[in-house]
Amino acid sequence: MEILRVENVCKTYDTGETTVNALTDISFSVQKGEFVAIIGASGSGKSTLLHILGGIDRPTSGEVFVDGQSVYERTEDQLAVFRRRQVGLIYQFYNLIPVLNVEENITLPVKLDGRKINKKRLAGLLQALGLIKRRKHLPGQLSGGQQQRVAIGRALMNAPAILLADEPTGNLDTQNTQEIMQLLEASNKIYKQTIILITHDREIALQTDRILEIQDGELIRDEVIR
Amino acid sequence: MEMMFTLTLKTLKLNRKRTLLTVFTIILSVGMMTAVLCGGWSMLRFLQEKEKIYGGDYAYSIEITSQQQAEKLMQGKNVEDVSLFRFAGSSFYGEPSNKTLLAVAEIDDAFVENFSLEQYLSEGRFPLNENEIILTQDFIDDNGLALSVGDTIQLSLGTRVWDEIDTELYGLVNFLGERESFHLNAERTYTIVGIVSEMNESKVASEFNAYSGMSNDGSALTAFVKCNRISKSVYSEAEENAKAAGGQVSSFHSALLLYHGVTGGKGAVKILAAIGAVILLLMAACSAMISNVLSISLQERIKQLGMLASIGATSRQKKASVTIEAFLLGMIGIPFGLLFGLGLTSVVLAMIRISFETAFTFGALELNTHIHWMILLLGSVSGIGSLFFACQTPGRIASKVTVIDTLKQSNVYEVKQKKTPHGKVMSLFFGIYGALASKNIYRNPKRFHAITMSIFLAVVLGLSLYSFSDFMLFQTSMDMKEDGSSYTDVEAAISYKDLQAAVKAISDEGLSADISYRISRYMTATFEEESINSDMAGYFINGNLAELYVVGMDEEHLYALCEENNIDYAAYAAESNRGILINSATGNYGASPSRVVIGSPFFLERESEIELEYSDDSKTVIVQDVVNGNNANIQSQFVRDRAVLIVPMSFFDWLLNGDTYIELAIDTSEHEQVTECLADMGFFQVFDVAKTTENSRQIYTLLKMMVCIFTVLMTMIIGLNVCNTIANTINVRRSEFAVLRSVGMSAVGLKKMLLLESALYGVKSLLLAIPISLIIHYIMYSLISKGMTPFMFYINLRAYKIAVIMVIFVVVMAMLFSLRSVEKVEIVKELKMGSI
Repeated sequence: MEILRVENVCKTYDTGETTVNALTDISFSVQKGEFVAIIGASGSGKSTLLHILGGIDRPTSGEVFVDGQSVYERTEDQLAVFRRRQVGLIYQFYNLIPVLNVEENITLPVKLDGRKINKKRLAGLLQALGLIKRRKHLPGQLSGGQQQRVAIGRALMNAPAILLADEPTGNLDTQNTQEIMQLLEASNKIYKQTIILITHDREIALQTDRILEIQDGELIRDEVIR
Repeated sequence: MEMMFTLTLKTLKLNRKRTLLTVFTIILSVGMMTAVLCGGWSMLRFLQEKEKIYGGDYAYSIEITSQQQAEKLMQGKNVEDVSLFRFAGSSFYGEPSNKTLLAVAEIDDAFVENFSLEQYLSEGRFPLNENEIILTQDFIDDNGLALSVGDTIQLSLGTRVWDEIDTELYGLVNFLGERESFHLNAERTYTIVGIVSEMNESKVASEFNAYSGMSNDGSALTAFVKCNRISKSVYSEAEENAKAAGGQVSSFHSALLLYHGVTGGKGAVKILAAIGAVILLLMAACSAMISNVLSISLQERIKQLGMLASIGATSRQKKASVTIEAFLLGMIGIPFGLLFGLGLTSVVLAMIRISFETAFTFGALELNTHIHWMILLLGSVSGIGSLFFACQTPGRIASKVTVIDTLKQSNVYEVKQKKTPHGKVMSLFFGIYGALASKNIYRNPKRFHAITMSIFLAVVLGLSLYSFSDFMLFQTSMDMKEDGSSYTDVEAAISYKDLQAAVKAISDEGLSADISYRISRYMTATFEEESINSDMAGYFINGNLAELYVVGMDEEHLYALCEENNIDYAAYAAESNRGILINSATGNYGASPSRVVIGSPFFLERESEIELEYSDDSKTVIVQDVVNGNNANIQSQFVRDRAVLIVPMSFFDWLLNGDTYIELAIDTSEHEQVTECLADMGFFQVFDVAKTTENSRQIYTLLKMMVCIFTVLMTMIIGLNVCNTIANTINVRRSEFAVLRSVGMSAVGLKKMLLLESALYGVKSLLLAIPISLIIHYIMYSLISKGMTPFMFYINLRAYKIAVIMVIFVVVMAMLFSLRSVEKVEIVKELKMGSI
């Protein structure tokens, strides 16, 4: 089942004197449960593409469909709801809210939705992420790896249609990198979570099912690994 | 350092909003300090000039006997000028009466100049020799005389003596009729060279109505010495000069010397100390606020300073970035602050002048702004001082910024606590937005306390000062009618035998006055238990003995009182032992001796009898009418701390004789003239109540106005500070806002969260400020009520409502001002900048 379809997406930045084509005519689709890596050199347009997929940045032209619905036919408020419910975002620098503890950071999207927290799901996530003993800790009291786990938990809490991860291991050591990748793989394999991961690390990319390579804003390779 | 200078300048230019806010804070701070200094100086100059016009431009007077001595005085130490004056004598131009009375003074041209008499000249000129005279127009008109400039006038000059006390009457003392005698000294012929209006606004000259030139007859004359410079050495100079001239120091112009800071002793020191304390307090408050804005600015440049550290900037150079910023902002802020302060002074003094015209204009003299170089210097120094102290803390922080600070991208909004508040209450009402707002305001305790303390100080200071001025104004108005006028305009205590003379004197002066007279005594009476109000047990001595204020009123005014209060006068006309009981008293009479209560001490029916004791006498009074409750309109005319029993004057026949002192209560619009008339008759206990009440009211209204202006300015400064701080908190959290947006918080939701934060700052400040203000309010009440006429405790709720509204206004405006930058948060851009 197709969960994501990108059609002829272009993104242009007009800085006055120059025009930068960050993305040119990108088209691809992703099936539910796929684990996709997007690779490319620095400045190739990977993060731009991820932001467009996540409803954060509007494309200059083209369409993005998530779960059969156009993302960018929504108003700003509707996009906020979309990001809350259908997208989970993980960043390189974690981007947790410093005043909220682990549990509160994870449940933030649910609370923004005004819904009741599924305590069972929360407990399961905390268990899976190895954060049970740290549930009341603030981000400042956690290591980098632990913070990234919290970020993953926040991204997964609402069981989003797609999970978007922008260099999630970029700020971590080798052991933590492995652990995070294991977590992502587990959520993909066990919970059929669709994951799109940006990385510049080819070894990490090879742990996914499919690799998309971007170069100078163009999709030059779409290869199924597994 | 040049590099630091250029870098700081560029940073300031980049963040124009912040820079402008900081400059405004400096302008307001320096402006306030300058306004206090300039306002005080202008007020002092006004008082000096006013006193010079009213009392004369002299420092001391010396008694001499010749003009030669005067010439010697002119050569004296620190002597600028000498004005000569002699009381030539009295005369009656026709049958002796007040109207025909002439009091002749001999003056020289220096006197005319130094006592500002030129303004009164309406025709001709002032006399140049002893054969020339000027008269007042009033004297000529009152006597229907056809005198004009060029005419001659013959006068029998002599001395008036008050026979009863064998005292010479000086100047225009009212004619005492048979009580005085006239002793002729000389027959004189004068040529009228000028006509003047009545010199009411000159203390010395107003006592006379005819002025001639100086004679050299060897009799005592007064030399008023004007000094080049008035200083503390004026006393030794006066003695030295008097000795050298062969005269004797007779008096010092104490009012003028006070305004020049020579006399006044502890009082003057206290005033100076108070002004100094205000300036220092202002400096401290302004320093704290400027320090806060410099800290905010520094905090936004931590990364920059860290990078500078990484390329080798020393601690001194890093600290210099703060000092340079303060210097640059001070260069703009201080001059504009001085101008603002001078402008503010002009506006405030104009408001005072218009609102209190009678007090602050004196003839052609008006309360105006006076600028002295010292004020500009002190204003600048206080501004520089504030900036200097403001730099210390942020400068120290800047010098310690390390490279790691940049790499860690640490900022003051890093949450250092192990726990943050639950935010359950806020969560209950406002959901996740309330919970986040609650947690966010506590993330940096120092910044939180800086904001809330600023608001707290402004509220407490403003409300406390307002309470003080409000209570003082209330005290003054207790003895006033609702329209602000006093119940009695003039009060006097005179012997019963002088009553007719006093009434006649006022009438002879052509003054319109309603004169009532009364006699009053405190008397005691014993009451039965059932007649005593146990809630006012404190009123009674030994349980059942009470003191009443018994007032005997003249027939006419007792009748008027009955009419006004719907009381049947007939019973009082028929019998003298009937009374109206005003059954109300204010004092510490309740169950708690520290609390002032108003209540009715007695339970008495009509026709009740009271046995009054006074000295060895005992008199029975039948209470014809009882007026219960708080009757300010009657009671304010008598006393407030005792029940008042009003009886006909005839009740006191057993006590009244010619020498018994009675009280006059006079209603008149010409209260100053009536007071003067009675004082001239030799009555010593004459009080211009209307003038005193008006002066007090004006002073306290002025005080209230100054408090309001001060509070508004402080609120503006603190508002700017709060604006700046809140704006900064938003600025450094832009990445955090981007993350919240990215996980699905809408733009409206973000604004809601920030508005809730601002509301929390306001609420938390008020939660502490209001109770503290109420405590101070009660302390003010206790001090004022106990020190003066007691009154019941009250709270001016309007002031508290205004304080709450102003706080809400300040924090909401600060937040709205900052929300505009939040609208510009671009999620992608902020996320790309890196971690929170």
